[in-house]
Amino acid sequence: MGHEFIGQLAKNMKNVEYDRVIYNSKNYIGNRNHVWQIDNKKYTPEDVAEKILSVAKANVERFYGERVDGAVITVPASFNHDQIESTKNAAKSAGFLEDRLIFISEPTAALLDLIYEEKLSDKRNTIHDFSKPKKVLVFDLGGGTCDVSIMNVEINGDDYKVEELAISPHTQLGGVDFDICGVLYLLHKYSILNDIDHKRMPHHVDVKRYIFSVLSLEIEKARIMFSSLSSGLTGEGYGDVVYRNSLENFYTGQSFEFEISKKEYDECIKPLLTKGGNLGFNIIDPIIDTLNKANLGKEDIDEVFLVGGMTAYSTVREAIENFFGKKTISYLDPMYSVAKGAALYNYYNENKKKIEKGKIIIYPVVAENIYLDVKNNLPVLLVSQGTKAPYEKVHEGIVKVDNATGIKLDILSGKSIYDPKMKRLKSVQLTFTDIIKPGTPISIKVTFDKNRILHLEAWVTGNFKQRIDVTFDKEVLYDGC
Amino acid sequence: MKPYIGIDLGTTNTVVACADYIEDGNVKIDILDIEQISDRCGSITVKKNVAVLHLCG
Repeated sequence: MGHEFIGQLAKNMKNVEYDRVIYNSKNYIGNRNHVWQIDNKKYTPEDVAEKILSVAKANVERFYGERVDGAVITVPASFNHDQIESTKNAAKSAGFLEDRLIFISEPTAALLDLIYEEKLSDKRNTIHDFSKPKKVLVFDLGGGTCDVSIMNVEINGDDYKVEELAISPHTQLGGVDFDICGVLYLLHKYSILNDIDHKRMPHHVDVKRYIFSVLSLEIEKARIMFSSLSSGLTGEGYGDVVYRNSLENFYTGQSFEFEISKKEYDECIKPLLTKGGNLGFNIIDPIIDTLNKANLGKEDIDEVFLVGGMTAYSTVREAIENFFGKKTISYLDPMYSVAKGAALYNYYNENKKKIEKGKIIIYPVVAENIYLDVKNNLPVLLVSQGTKAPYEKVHEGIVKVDNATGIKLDILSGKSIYDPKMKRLKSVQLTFTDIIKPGTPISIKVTFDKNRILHLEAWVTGNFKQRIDVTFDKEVLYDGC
Repeated sequence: MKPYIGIDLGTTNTVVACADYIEDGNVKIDILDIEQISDRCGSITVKKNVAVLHLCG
């Protein structure tokens, strides 16, 4: 049984003990069926999040010499209630107190950092004026997710109001997809160089993982080099920046000496940046989807703000600027702005009673339409996407008892009740303490708390005292991201 | 000194920031890089990168 390492060291180990490293676990959080096994020990995505948060908490406590039991933790805007709840459970297990935890979306946190910096900049020449209400589209392309949010930002004196208007649930796209495009290109180069069919090259899953790990690290290094060396270059010189390296014992004892230019890499990732690209997903579709949800055109957006490590890459930024026909805001350090905005919100929120001037109010919204599957009928809309949280509504007599001891219902999400791609998120069990006559109507109260976590209460319609025990099924069929 | 922390629990990197009031309406935000050094003892190094922000008003 080895030691557990968290952070950069673990990331570096991908190259050495690639089958003992868990990465991108956030993409699976909220999915209790997803498990990694190392040395006969099982790790769920929630376990991994707990370990990372424990290290974070210990770091802060060691640094400040103070116990820390509260935090503002950011989650992708498109996280659903299961994913947020699972993150909350991880934070509780890491030692944070439930009532001192707040979850805000990553784009909102980044935006808070931006407007705070902008407000300060009146002493250093304001670049973007937030003194009038503005519609801001935040494009957040991180390692494993692509979140697009549209927010209405209003600064009234010293008070900030950030109102989410629409958010995109596209989570199948992230920085890792940009790596995969580059990895496949390098593999193609290797196969030509050695006259091997690369599609048949690695037979064993471990070899595949090793090759992917090694080459994805090389692509990441190349991209960082392209970003740093190509800034300031234009014209032909812009794409001529070349990354070269040699990998010893790359495959069956052979080394692999390769080079890739920025121009070549940009060609590889082009399908991810272009609407209608042949990969089936790209960065433009989530933007259009979010604009449609908010009933806005691209010309209605006052500012486009880029967040997330991948947006630091010039070609990604240019694709978005070309779509909107205007410059984007991306001058803040995209690696740090989310955490800074979250810390700032924590400070304001904890001290709101003491601070006379300067308040931050956030109106989060529910990311997707949530339905209850009513047997023998069309699903009933419980909450529509874009609904502001916290939210509660009582649905009187929404279902009828068909079994004297209990009912099992499904919670679904989709674009409409006729959506053929509607997903079953989870099942909910209503258990009756006393036998209830079949045909009796049941009322359900739906609550989304300030953290956008779903709660349900149920009772016999017309008899509020006859409460019904509601439990969410442990089995989660939702396939994470 | 009570730190008010914000955690960006990212897919590939986690960043922790701490906000705290200093004086004269100033809020200081520290970024703490979480990093474990490679001595296989599980010890942790904390890199500090200080940014000073002003509280409104």
